[in-house]
Amino acid sequence: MTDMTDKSNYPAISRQVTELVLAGLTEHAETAFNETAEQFGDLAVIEVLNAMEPQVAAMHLSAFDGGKLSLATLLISPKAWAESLAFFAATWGGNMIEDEPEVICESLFAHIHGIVFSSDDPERRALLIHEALSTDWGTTAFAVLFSTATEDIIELANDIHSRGAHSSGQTTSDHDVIPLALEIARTDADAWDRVMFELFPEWQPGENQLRARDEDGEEEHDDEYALGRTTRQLLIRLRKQVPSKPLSAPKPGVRPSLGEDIFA
Amino acid sequence: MQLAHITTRPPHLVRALEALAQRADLQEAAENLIKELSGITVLVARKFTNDRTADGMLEAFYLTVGCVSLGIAQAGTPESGEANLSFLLQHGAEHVFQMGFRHIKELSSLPYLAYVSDFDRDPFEQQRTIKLLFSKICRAEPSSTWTGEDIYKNELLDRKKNQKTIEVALWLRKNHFAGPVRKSDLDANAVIAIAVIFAILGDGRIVARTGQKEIENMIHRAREVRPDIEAGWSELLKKTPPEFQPVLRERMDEYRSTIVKKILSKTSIKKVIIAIQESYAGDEAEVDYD
Repeated sequence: MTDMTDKSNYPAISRQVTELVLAGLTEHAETAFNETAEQFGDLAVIEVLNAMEPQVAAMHLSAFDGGKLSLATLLISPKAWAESLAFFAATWGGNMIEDEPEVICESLFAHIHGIVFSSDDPERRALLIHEALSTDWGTTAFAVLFSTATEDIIELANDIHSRGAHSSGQTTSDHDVIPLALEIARTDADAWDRVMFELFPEWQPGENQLRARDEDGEEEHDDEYALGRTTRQLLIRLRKQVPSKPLSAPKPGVRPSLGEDIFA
Repeated sequence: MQLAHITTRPPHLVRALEALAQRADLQEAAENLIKELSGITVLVARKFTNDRTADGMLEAFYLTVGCVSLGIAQAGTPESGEANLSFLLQHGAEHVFQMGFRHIKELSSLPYLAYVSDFDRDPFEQQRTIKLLFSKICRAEPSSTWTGEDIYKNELLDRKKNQKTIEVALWLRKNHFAGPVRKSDLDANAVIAIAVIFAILGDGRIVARTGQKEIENMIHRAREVRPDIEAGWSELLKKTPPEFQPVLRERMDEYRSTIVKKILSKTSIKKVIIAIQESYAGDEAEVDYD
């Protein structure tokens, strides 16, 4: 049986898993999660995931997508996942965004879709969406996905605007992102607004019309229309939001670094 | 047969780390140190070697070991690994590195020769000198003996002596009998040589710069009147500030039985002039006749 009173092992397990992930031994890290779950229960895995640094969690999660299932995918707490999203773009080089935006969009979609729909629990889904879209980077990440199907999203957005989220959804589109968009609109109206404004920064509902940006070139600016950000712009925005320093504050008692002043 | 006595002394940082290994509760201190030292190594690589190659990183590592060691060595802590370690932990590796690097910068600001030129004031050249001294003194391989501290001490003594020589020469120039000599280049040893040689005449003039004609006249006059050399010199010493006198005295002792003897001998005047120009007056004597 699970022994929930013995939490003293968790930091050690977190450290062990962190080392495995950093060493690139994803499978071994996953095994460690499974053993933890068997021995101490699922809540222990959640604790361990919470204790890991978000960039390490991001690294572990990114090794899994729709194709492979991870215990971490199922159990990571919505807050920890939202924080780990900040680091998802860390490995994208400038050239990747220019050369193969489809590839990174696809991996981002597989990741987000995989996490959100891994559970049948509607409450967990709502929480995941809520936490992720409470962050700037999470909002940008979702906007990236929607920007790959701007026309379909506009159709859906107009539908939702006129008929409400719950009676919408009969779109002509069968694009993969639509179920995700609907899920957001139905569970969290504020989150839906945030991601729409991230995609269409000039949108004034009722004042102007949403419009996809013509990929061919610059269009004349017209107040009647709110043009969407392109996938490329959003990917760059997401890349720029990757924290350059670890989120965690430095340990107390450690001297602040002198940096270049060591030569002063 | 007696073998030479050799004591191997690893760099101070290594000695401190060896002492750390003996401690029981070393985990946290060791973690902080490794973080600080690797951070320093990266900065050193970026600034002085190359942070994109393994060779560059390795060189930076050696330089870091040496510079931290110099910081410890010059702090006046007792010669023991434990004392070195306490000092290192008390101040942190970054600050100790900074101390070491400041010693290097201070050293580089002192003159390498008793000679001043515009070249020394060039900022690019100053940076180059710092880099040169840094690599010469602070390169320490952890597994072998480090002599950087001795090199530093000797270099410091040499350069302080040069500094003193330059100060004396500048004072002599300021008090030149025909008004202060204003020139950006300074050959300090030559200025002192001229002043000491001309002082044998005992005419109360301080000569800091001269020309071929004047040297000729001086020799003629010395051979004519056979002046009291010691009296002339003590007159010069009396006018000189006390802190500069030892430098002049040293020079007098050296010249008494060499060039001064030659001036008063029967050696041909031409030969004496050439000797003075080549070995004593250096850049501070005009070669041409006016």
